[in-house]
Amino acid sequence: MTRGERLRPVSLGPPPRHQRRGRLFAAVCMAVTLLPVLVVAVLLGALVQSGAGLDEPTVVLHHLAEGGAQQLLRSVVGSLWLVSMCACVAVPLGVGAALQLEGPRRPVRSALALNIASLAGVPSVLFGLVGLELFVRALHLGHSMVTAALTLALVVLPIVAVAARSALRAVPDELREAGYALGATPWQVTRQVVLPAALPGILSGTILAIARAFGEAAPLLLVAGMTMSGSSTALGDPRGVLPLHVLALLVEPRTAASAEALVGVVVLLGTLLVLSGWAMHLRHRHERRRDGPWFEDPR
Amino acid sequence: MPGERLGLPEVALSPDRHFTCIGLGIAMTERFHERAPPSGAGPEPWCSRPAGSGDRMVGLALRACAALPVILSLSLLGILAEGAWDGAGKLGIPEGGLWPRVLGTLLVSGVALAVAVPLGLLAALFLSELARPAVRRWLKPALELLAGIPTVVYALLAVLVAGPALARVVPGLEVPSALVAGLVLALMLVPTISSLSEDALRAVPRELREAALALGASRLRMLWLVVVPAARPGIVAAVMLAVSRAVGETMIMTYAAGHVPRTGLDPRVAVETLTGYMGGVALGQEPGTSASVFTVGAAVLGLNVLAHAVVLRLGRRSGRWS
Repeated sequence: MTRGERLRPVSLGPPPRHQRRGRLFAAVCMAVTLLPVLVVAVLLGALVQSGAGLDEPTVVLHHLAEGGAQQLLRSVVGSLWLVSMCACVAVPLGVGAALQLEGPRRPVRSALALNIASLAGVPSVLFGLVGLELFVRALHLGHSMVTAALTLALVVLPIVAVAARSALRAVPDELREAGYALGATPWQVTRQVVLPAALPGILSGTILAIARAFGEAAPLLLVAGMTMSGSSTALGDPRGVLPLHVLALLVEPRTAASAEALVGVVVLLGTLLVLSGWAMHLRHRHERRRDGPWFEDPR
Repeated sequence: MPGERLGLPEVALSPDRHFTCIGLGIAMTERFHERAPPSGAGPEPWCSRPAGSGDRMVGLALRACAALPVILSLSLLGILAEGAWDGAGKLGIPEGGLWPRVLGTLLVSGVALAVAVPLGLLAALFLSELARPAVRRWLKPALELLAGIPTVVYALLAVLVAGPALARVVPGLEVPSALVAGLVLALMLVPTISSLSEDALRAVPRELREAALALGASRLRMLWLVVVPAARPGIVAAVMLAVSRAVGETMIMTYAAGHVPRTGLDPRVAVETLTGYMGGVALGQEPGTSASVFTVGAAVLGLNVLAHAVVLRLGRRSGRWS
């Protein structure tokens, strides 16, 4: 359907019974759609209210002033450092794989594409096991930040590849052919025609994947060698990154330290909000441009 | 060994296994390339320019990138298959056995899917067909945001807020329990299902809808008898993704489902799931060896594949528009 246009039966006279039933159904559907959003909002509100000890804000402030804020800052920096390392590895490789799948001299696509798609569906804990074996044991990288970043890269790589591939597929073949007709080499066509046209789609998929990496805890739990007693917020230790730091809330709920973890939750959600908003904005703009005169299908 | 870091090698895989994975991966990828349609002088039939050295370098790099996912999946399978055996050549079965954990996983993800699939499908129907554009414009992003909330946060919500609140309503509910974990997991799965299904519903051609309406169907009948069956493959794919997220979800399972391996079907008490066991061992809350963790990992992957097969099978039956 074209955007903003809806098909509906022509109505003559008062609504018959089936239309009333349709309206009831629509109302039920709307309630169902709203339900999860509202539930999560209420739960988050309750979490902030109960955990932060809003009734005694002085305790929280005191704790943050005592060095809690510094620890929190360190875990945020650790997370950013981890995610940027992960992105540096995963994004070029993922986009490269997608380019090869959709580029000139396409391989038999179904098998390779199916493989990537099913990798994207593999639970992320299992990549934690792979990271443990590959990076900790085989490459002797230890329980370090590099190990954690590479493991996260394994998780993110298929997601980036799938997103980039669908963005590249949306580039019409006519654009490529026009490039070749002007005498460009395949790499020139890829770099100057295909990539710019697909960039917003690739970018929005990548941002969403990075947002996921930012909040991912399960594979890190395995790779970082996490123990609650030995939780550390030292820079350069993957046990100190934000998602794992936040787990302190579960160990010692409703103490001053948990307030710090709670601020961590807020930071985590804020980052997520910014990243997803950015990705949605990019996608929205791209869709509008694709529907506009520039990418109009000549047929 | 509680309190100790997981991952001290019991049996390290010999490095040549990894080289085997890499070699096999490259060979398989290249095999797929060879089967590509025969090209003329240039890399594309209509490309008149011969490939320069730069082109060749880039082509090589891209081919390496394409081989990477194949290598990764081979390594995944190899590592899980081999890590599962301990030093004595025995399969590393965790204390209490594998079966209770499999049942626990099925129970929690069953609860989650029983809630999330109907909700997700209705939400998809609403967003794609029934909502006014103005409502859709803010409700869709809001729902999609739920899918991106880190699972750690969901685990916190389950244990600290949702669990105690539910315990007040449901008699006999323990706070880490299958029901709490399942319901919170469902919150995470609804947007996963709804956004993919919505894409499938919107892709149903306008002509089909027009034909149904022209035959005198009401809007509800048009949706139920024409649009939903036509979108069935996309909907099945959405449910498949939700199943694998449910089976593989770790943080919620570790904290909100409990650590009591149990075979009962009562969702109100604590159980232990496969991923919950892995999380428990990694946190040092439970005894476990590296072999048992890898065995459980292999079981997660196996369950995942099995669940996919079941969903595919269910989706294929009575396909009206196939």
